[in-house]
Amino acid sequence: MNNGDGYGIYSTDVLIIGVEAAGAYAAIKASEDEGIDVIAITKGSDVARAGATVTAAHSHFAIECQGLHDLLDAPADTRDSPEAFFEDMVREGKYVNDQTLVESLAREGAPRAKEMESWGFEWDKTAFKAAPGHTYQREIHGLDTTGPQMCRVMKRVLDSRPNCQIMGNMLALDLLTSGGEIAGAVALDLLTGELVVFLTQCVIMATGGAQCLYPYVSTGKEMTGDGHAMAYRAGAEFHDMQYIQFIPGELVWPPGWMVGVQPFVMFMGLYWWYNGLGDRFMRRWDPMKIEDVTRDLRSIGVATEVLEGRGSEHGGIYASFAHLPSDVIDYVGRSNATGKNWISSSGIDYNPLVEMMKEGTAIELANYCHFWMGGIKINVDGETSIPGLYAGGECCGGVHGANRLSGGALTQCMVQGARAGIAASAYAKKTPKPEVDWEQVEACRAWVYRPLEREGGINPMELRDKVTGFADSHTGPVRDHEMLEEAIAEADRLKKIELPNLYCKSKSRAYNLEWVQAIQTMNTVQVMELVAHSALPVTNSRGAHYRRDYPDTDNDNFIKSVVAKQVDGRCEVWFEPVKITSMTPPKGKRPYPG
Amino acid sequence: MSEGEEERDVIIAKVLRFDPTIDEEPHFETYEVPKYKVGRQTLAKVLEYIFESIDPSLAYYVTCNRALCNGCVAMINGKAGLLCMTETTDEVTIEPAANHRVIKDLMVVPEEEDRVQQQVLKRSGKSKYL
Ligand SMILES: Cc1cc2nc3c(=O)[nH]c(=O)nc-3n(C[C@H](O)[C@H](O)[C@H](O)COP(=O)(O)OP(=O)(O)OC[C@H]3O[C@@H](n4cnc5c(N)ncnc54)[C@H](O)[C@@H]3O)c2cc1C
Ligand code: FES
Repeated sequence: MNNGDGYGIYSTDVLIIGVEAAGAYAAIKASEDEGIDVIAITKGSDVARAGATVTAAHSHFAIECQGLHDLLDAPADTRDSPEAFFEDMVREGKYVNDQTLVESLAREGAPRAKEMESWGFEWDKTAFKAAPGHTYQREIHGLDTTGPQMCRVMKRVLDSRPNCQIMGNMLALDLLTSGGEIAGAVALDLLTGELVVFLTQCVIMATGGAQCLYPYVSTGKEMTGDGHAMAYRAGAEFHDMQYIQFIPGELVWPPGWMVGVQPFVMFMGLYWWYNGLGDRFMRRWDPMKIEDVTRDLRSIGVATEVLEGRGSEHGGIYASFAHLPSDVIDYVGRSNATGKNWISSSGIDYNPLVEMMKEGTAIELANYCHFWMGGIKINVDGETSIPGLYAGGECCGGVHGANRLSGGALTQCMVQGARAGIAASAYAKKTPKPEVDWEQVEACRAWVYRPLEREGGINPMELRDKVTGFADSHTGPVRDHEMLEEAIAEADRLKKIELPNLYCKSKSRAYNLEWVQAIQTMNTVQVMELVAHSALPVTNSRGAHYRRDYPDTDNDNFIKSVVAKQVDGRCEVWFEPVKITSMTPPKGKRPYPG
Repeated sequence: MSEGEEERDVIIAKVLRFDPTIDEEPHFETYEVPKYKVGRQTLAKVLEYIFESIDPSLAYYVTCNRALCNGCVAMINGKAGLLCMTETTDEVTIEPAANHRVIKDLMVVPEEEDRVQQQVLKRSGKSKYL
């Protein structure tokens, strides 16, 4: 039955999947009770070796200034308050945020920041950034770095806890349930290629976003929505999966430049954009601000040109610097306001590219996927619709509504990670471990090992490119009914015909990246299915979701949450009222952006 | 330079390969990577090209792609360096990081972290098979 292999088996009270901003925070809180055993696994080789958090180096937390002033002793603007932060988030989230989640984020950011400080995190208390949508300068960053520092500090705390074990190179595959409750999880030990079963009554999902459903990403290439797919297969409910943040900052021409630091982001609003007809198309969206608009509008403007056949030669739009004097280009690149000199500091000599820009040649930019507003549906304690399954951080939906304010994600991770850790630990304490149904483990083994056992079939990397290309053209920032129907049909077809035929040429089980790619591609297809099903009934445009067949923002009919869930192998979708605590949404119907 | 010339230009990458589950000894494989595919990029991109287009059995570790995670450390022409921060040259030799246990090819586990890899539970001292 199991090919003669045993399983590695571990027993734990709380299993955490993903160990970065949200997962590591959850692990610290869950293991505060010494009687609770915690195992935290990551598909990276260790903490800070995978995920979005470690890439968010020069990034910011948004925390209301009153709390920064009172708790962190920072000279911040005391006109701010948790209430003001709450209002900014709900207004900019276009009124579809779960307000109970926003309240906890707005109130608990400062105490959590103080707690991180007690663990050794160093804040830069001299520089507060103002960002669009925030009424006050409430963005604060770490000294040295932000995300990587956070991971390192939390890893140190976890290493000192005898009841908490971190395991790297563990790719979680499926959740196990018993009578509708969590009973464990199955993972693949990437170093040996053997299955590992975790016996546990409680899992916290902290797997981050699903950026790699799309061809271009701001994260590493491991963000394939595994946590979403696992939770979906186990029957968890999802919240507003149609809201995904894109940024038009991926350099698609000239080729051959690694732009990991995305230097062009810092030219945002400075360059002029043209489509393939030479038209400065952003004028159609905002004749006054033109390119200098919010990120969702920029990405939607760019996606529209590409979709309607007016893109640049290599599938983006043209970004021109020709109107800028060459010394200004030099100055912005070399010693911009943030003091980061990307031309010489990123390991690559960008000078030839800068010379090109100075000569007046345009570069071509396309949208990259940056952040997931939608995700697993949680309440304020991180509980999902499955007893024993908790979630926190970017894999969860609801708190940002249709659009995320900058700095809100890292604060979300602290607040939700902490709450999920505390609630999961209490749940684990009172709940006995259910019996594992070994048939579920065998079913997981069957789909996971299939690509390795097949002697021919579809190449995982080719299929990944096909899926990401399709997702880009059908479930990107701009959608319509036909595109979404096609995406649903394509996900169905891929699941029935192509995914079962995935095959790995390389058969070695030890650290087989081709195999990992096959597994991840299966997960991304399920995420595409969720996105398309969630976006289809939302026949208005709001935040990051632009329906070209329904271009108005309709506050009379669409202040609603979309909930999706797998039932009998099909994706079911329904509307629920938005959870409102104190801020009443506006009425009326207006042309996008509302 | 014309397009045609660019397409003939290659980077010669020598990579030390070793799968302890199959091979007795490590050995070098030499790959020719078209320059126009990886251009003025880093060795991380060169390895990605080899993995995706030439040999899917190659194992290596790259994630953040911007010198933040230190996961991609390797010996580059005999010196320790980050694959994601080293610009391509016409010829390059890549070997696994020194003082690490080789899992496969360039995928290694730092010796001081091997505790984690043996997956011995801290509290119970129990190893993987309970
Ligand atoms: C370049 C960049 C800049 C950013 N800047 C900001 C900013 O300025 N302010 C802000 O608030 N936010 C910012 N963000 C967003 C923010 O960084 C992320 O939302 C946040 O770090 C997500 O943290 P997380 O813990 O939820 O997930 P991640 O950090 O993405 O971690 C996911 C974890 O899950 C693990 N995992 C995934 N799948 C599996 C599996 N199958 N098995 C085992 N483990 C798995 C991964 O290995 C990893 O450990 C930025 C993001 C990027 C990419
Ligand atoms: S991939 Fe992270 S340092 Fe190179």
